[in-house]
Amino acid sequence: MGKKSVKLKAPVEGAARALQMLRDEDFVKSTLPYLVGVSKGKVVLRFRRMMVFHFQDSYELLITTVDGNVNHMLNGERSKIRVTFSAPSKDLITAVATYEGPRAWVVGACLSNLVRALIKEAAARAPPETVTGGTTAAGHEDLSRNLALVSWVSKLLMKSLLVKSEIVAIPKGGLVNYVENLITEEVLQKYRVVYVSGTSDKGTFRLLFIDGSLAGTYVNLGGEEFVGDERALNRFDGFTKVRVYGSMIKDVSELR
Amino acid sequence: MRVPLKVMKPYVVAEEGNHAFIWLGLDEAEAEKGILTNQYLIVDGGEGILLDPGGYFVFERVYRNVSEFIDPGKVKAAFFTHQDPDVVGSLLLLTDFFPNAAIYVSSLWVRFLPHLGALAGLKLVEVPDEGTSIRVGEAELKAIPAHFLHSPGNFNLYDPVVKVLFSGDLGAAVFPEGTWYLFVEDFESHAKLMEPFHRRYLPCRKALEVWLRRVKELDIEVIAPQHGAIFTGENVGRFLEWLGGLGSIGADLL
Repeated sequence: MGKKSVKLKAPVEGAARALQMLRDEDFVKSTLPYLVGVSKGKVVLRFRRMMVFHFQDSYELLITTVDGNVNHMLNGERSKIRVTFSAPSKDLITAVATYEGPRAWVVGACLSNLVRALIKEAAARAPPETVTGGTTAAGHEDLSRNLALVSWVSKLLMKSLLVKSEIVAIPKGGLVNYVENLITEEVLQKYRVVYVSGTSDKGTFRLLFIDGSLAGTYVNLGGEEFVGDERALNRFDGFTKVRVYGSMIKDVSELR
Repeated sequence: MRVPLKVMKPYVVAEEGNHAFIWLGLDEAEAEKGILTNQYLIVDGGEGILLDPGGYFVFERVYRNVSEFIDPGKVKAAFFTHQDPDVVGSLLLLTDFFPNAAIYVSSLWVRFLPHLGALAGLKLVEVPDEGTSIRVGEAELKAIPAHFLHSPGNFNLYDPVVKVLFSGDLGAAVFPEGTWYLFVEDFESHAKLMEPFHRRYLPCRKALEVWLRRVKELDIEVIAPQHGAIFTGENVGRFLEWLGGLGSIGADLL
């Protein structure tokens, strides 16, 4: 038997909302790294070090809240893991994790990763503080924000056809002209909603056209995101694989 | 009502140097009735290949987990064992989120894929009946024929670096409600979860015998199916023996 503890700090936007996610048992169970089994409400975690040394145990998860801190107790058949999450400020989560049981030198090396993964996913999945839900002058929802979401684009493509694909060299500042020429009258007449995306070594762009007008833009250049900022399109260049999808939906609000 | 199971985090099944065979988590839909789907990623030297990437509802999780290991633009290929919707369903999403991935699929099924909405621009690689090699990074992966098991144009993928056989539907198991495990530990009890699928979905004894002869020539340490749990160590041999001892299956039973 051994014992191992780690402490860590993670800068998080909206720490209180992320902490709220960490109270959700279903969320925590589905997000635990090293999860290799579920049975009778228990989770089976298999920790591994260097692909050679393993430790596996079956744990019951108990989540409690004390003084605003969130405690995760993983009570195993042979071991215990306890993690306490706190939000000392609006943009910081701290955590203390302790393992007690056999092969502490294997599990201890995995504790930081376990805690970081939970915090990262909680921050990513926490509901936004305020629902922007604004409308553009054209009366559309904030579609640019939606274009940043894999889940929303997935729903859009479920009801779309890939109608054109090509690889082109786009000069800096030339993307807008290129796309205007790409979406022909034929495409616009056939599809009220058209989605255009492109990928190059430098990044990705996603554009949404409704009734021939640009209704949403999303650009990711080297990891930096530009949501609804059409000026970022002028920074996109290089050999780019471009796809054009015609959607069969009539109204994007169907994609909620 | 069945509570859908979700495992959002990936698990590295096997690893050697800059090469890894990775399980990409799972989502359960109520109508799957316990036949959960596994998606995998092989990475080698900064390039990747997706194995049976699945349908629409699993795609977001697959994409997020792939992104933990590799830039999606570096995914050079997607391998379809066969044509079922739980294998090919997310084709349009693949074209958008993994734009550099060539699609490897049996030559029998190429002509049917446009019906998923891809009218242009698909980079399809027809895998001939005898199989083919797929280079990812420095690794030379092998598409192994598994025809009629259960699809007429069906392949497994063998990864010789970590000696993993991705077996598609072979090894599929139906988990009872509230139970799931990634690795087979108790083979005897797991076999009970596999038997109904293999008796009904596989067409005949002969197809299975041809496949068994073929895979016994491979050096296999892990068998990773598209449904069910992964076989490691002694359970690899037990699984192959179990298949060999199944007796009559499919049309043999008519």
